[in-house]
Order: sequence, then C-alpha cells, then structure tokens
Amino acid sequence: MSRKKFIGLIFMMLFSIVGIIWVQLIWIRNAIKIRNDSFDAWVRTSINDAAQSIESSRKMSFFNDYLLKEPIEHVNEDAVISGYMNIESYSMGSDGNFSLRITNQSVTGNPGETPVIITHDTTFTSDSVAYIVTSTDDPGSITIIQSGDVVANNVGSVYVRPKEFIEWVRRRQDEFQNMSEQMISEVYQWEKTLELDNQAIDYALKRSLMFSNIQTPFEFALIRNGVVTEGTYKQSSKNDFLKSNYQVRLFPDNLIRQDLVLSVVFPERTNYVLGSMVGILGGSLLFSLIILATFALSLFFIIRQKKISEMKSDFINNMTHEFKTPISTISLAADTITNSKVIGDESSIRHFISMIKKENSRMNKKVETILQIASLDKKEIEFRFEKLSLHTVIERTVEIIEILLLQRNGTIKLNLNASQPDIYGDHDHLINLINNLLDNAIKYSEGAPEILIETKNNEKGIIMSVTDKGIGMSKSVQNRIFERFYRQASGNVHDVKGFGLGLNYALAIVDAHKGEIKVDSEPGKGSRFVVFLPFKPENGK
Amino acid sequence: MNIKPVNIFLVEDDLSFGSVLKSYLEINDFSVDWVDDGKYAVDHFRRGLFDICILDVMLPHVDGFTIANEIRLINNKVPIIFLTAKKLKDDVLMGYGVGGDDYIQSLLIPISSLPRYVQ
Repeated sequence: MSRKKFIGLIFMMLFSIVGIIWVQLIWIRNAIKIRNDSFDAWVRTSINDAAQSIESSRKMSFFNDYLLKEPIEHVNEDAVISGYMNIESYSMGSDGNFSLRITNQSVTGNPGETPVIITHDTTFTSDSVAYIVTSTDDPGSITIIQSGDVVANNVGSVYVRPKEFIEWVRRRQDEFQNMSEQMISEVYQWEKTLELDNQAIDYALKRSLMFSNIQTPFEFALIRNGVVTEGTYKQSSKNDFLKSNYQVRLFPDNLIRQDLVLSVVFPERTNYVLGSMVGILGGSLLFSLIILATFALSLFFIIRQKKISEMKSDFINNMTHEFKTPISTISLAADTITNSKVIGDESSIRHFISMIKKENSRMNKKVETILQIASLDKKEIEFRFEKLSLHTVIERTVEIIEILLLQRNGTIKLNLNASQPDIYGDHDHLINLINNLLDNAIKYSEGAPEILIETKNNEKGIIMSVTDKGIGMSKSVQNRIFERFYRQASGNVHDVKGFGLGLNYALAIVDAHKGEIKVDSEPGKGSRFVVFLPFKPENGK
Repeated sequence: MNIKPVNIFLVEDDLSFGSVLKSYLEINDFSVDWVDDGKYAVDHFRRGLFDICILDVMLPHVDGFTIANEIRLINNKVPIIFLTAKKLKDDVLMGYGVGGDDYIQSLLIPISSLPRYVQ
C-alpha cells in the first residue's frame, strides 16, 4: 500500500468517525431538547391545574363556611339597633344641663365573625332630652322621659333611631352586599393563605403531576412579594425557587391584589429527563466507543503490518544481496577460469579458486546466522551451561575479531576489572554475543574503530560494557535495535551489511542467561552496550 | 573484438566480487575502471572517458541511482547498467527512471551483449 493511499484511508476513516459522532451528538441533543420541552409543557399545565384546584378548593370552603349560612341581621324588627350600645361619655352641669353620647353598633352577620360593623353615634343633650330611662330588659330601647326645656312635654317611650335611619342602614347593607361578600371572601382567603396549607398544595401538585405522568420528586415554595416564604424545600435553595421556570400566580382574579406565586422546583429534573433516555444515550455511546476502538485497532494492525512488510522486504532485499554477491562472484570466477587465457595459468587458477572458497565460506556463515535465528525463533536453541570465566571468553572473542579490526586499523582496549569473573554460561553463545557486539562496534565506526571493553562486579553478577566511538544512534533507533531484522541503515545506501539479526540474537542469549542488555548512545559520539550477566542464571532478574 | 578496447566504469563495493568481475571483464578484452565507494564514483567518472557504466545500487554513502542521476547531468549518452540483486519492481522502474539503460538482475553479466550498448 502506498503512503498516499494509506494516509487517504486514515483520513477517510477519521472523517467518517468524526461525522458519525457528530451526527449522533446532534441527534442526542435534539432528543434531549424535545424531552425537556415536553417536560416543561407538562409541568406548566400541571401546576396551572394545581393552582386552579387550590383556588377552587378555597372558594368551596368559603361558600361552605359563609355564604350558605344566613347572616343574622336583626334580632327583632323593632329593635333595629341590635347589638351593642355603649355610653361613650356622660357629663352633667350644676345647672342641671347634661350631655350623653351613645355609640350604637349595628352588626350584620354572626356577632364575632362578621367584620362589617355599622357604627352610629347619638348625642343627647339637656336641650332636647330631660330624662332618659334605659331598660335593662331590652338594651336596644331607651326611653326619653323629658325632652327640651319643657319638662314632661313629651312624656313617653320613644325610639332613639328614626325610621329613616333604619332604611338607610338597610340600603347601605344592600349596596355593599356583593362587595362585602367579595371582601369577606378575599380577606378570608388572604388570612387563610397566610397559613396556606402545605399539605393541600402538595396534594394538588402531586395529583396533577401524576395525571401528566411526571414521576420525579418536586419541591415547592410560595413567593410572596418576591420573597420565598414557605414550602417544602430541602435540597433546593430559595434562589432556585425565584429562578424556577415553573411558577404560577395564585388567586389572580382577587380585588385585593397580592403578589403570591407558587414556584415548583424539580431537583432531579436533569437526571429524570436523561434517565428516561438512558437506553438511547448508553447505546449510542457504546456503539461510538466500539467504532472508535475498532478504528484504533485496525489502524494499529495496519501500521504494524506495514512495518512488518517493510521490514520483510528490507530483509529479503538484504538477504538476496548478501547471497547473490558471493554466488555471482563464484560464478564469475568459474567463468574466468574456463577462459582460454586463464586455463593454462596455474597461479591465476589458484587465485580464483581461493576466491571461490572464500566466497563459499562467506555464504556458509550467512546460512549459519539465519539458521541460528530460526532456531532462536522456535526456542530450539540449546544451551550448555558450565562454569566459565567471562574474561577468558572476552579474550577469545577479541582474538577472533582481531583480523577484522586490523583491516580497519582499529584498536581495542580491555579493562577487565571484575574480581569475580566466573559465571555459569554457555561458552559458544557468549562468544557469539560478544562477537556480535564487537562486530557492530567495528561496523558502525567511521575510520579506525576504537573499542573499549570493561567488566566489573556487582553483588549479583558481572557487568560488561562495550564502548565504541562510532556513529552512534538516535533515541528512536535505540528503541528498535533489538528488534529482529531492524537495521539502522536502510534504503539503497548500503553502508553496513547485515541482516539485522545480531542484536536480536544477543538479546536472546542474554535473556537465556537471565541477564540484561542495555544501550546508551548519542549520534556522532558512539555507543555503549551494557550487559549484565548473573553468576548463575537462576539468581538473575 | 574491437581494436579500441571498450572502457567500462564499474562501481561495486564488494571487494571480492569487484575484483573477480574486473578480472573477468579484462580477460574478455574490456578495459575496466573500478571504484568501490559511491562517494568517489562521480569524481572518478569526470576524470575518465567511458563507454559503459555498470553501477551497483546498494553502495556505501551514496546509492547507485543517485550516482546515475549525477552521471546523466555530466553525460546523457553513456549507457548505464544497474547491477544488483535488488529485483523488486519499484527498484527496476526507479532504475529506468533515473536514466538507466538496462537493469541486470542476476548479476551475471552477458559479456557478449555488452558491446551492443556502445554506439
């Protein structure tokens, strides 16, 4: 797959997944909005119903308590001034003159309950009245015995109230009949709403919300003149009620205006609305996540596959080059020998035959390496652990590599400082391990390689380090060098030959010894491989 | 055989193969200039007069395709033959793309056909 197509594919996948999630979000948002709106609509209807039912229940009780009971107007027909009579003031001069003021209170309805009182003051003076006789039997009647200066001029019982006054009272009563009823009703309600029954409101709200099938807990409060007075609230603050969307004015038609608002708050409203959508939301979230996960996984696999196929083609390229070269050399050498000019020349033939042998052994070595790694792969590699001195192993390996080092004018320095160099290990594999490290140190040095091998002990084993002053490598390369077939040099520039197996093999050997291998490197300054090998594999990491 | 020997410019980093190929070509009456490092290839080409270039693709420092490109800037007539084990399709196309005249995959040089590259 070409890079362009790959990027295109990723872009398409990203685009579609973002699109899917976006569309889902829009759908969910719309659904929530619709739910919210319908919830709001239902609640508004419900609390309006509740307010109405509260009001009508008040009216009913008013009618029950008042209107259906006949107010007692007059105790009897004659005694119009029923009710109470007080002597407000009384004064008498030495000359026999006197003044008497009487307050009459005319009461409609049941005494004590009816607030409408008609008061009329009557003042008697010695100018008009000589004597007044009050009857204890009938508190409504006053008998004027003498009127004016004329003594006994008008002797006899008279009613203080003239007939016209009685008529006037009646008229007034009729005039204010309706109004007073209304006033009574409102004042009554006003008084009663001071102690508006929370239970009744609660009941009314519950009933109408239940009819609307809204089953989330609610709290309510009465707001009087913009101040939250009372209600059932535990979770919600007073502010919540003032800001609530669900408010309704109580008794809006009253003459005596009062700013009384019933405010309802649903503390779990959001949860309730979302809760009713939990299936849709959850499903959509789940499927989005699955799509996202699938996307990420397939991307991961594609990238890994791409990497593997790149490494594979690199390896095959590399291997064909590594094998084709000696094969071609041998073939060409054979062709050369058969040429008539050469076939008689013994020294030439010897030269070409030695060339053929050299190339043959080169191929053989390569086959060995590949077989080695194949056996590593199948865990078929055999280890024969024995007690050996790591220092001896290092020295032997250095002897082997010396020819290669001489060709490059390299130098190698040994600082074998471990006082306890004996470990249990596999001699041949350890030689290969050190050989691979030294081989890399030489391969990745420009000019004459300078190599330093050091050993030291720690309490568990030996730490061996191989340091070169070669080209070094970046952090990203360091992370990958132990991967199979990974080679720093790639593409057509063929600076360094190899299969990319050496360090992978080294890692396998160190693992088999239960040791550790680490690399520390800086581009341009060189690399340092540190190998830890425990005294005995079972004591290792 | 030509009276005037055909001059071959050979770039090959493998010492064994390079030396054997050089001997082989010389025995077959070609004159061979062999460079074993891509770094020096173009400089060397400038100094000589060559009839055919045989370039390895995988080389240290500078690859064969790059060398071919630079040779084409100097001389757009000299035949260029890539000599490599790389036989992936992309590589072959790349070889022709940079102005190569042939792409010998097997590394086995058909000696008899070499002169036909020379005008």
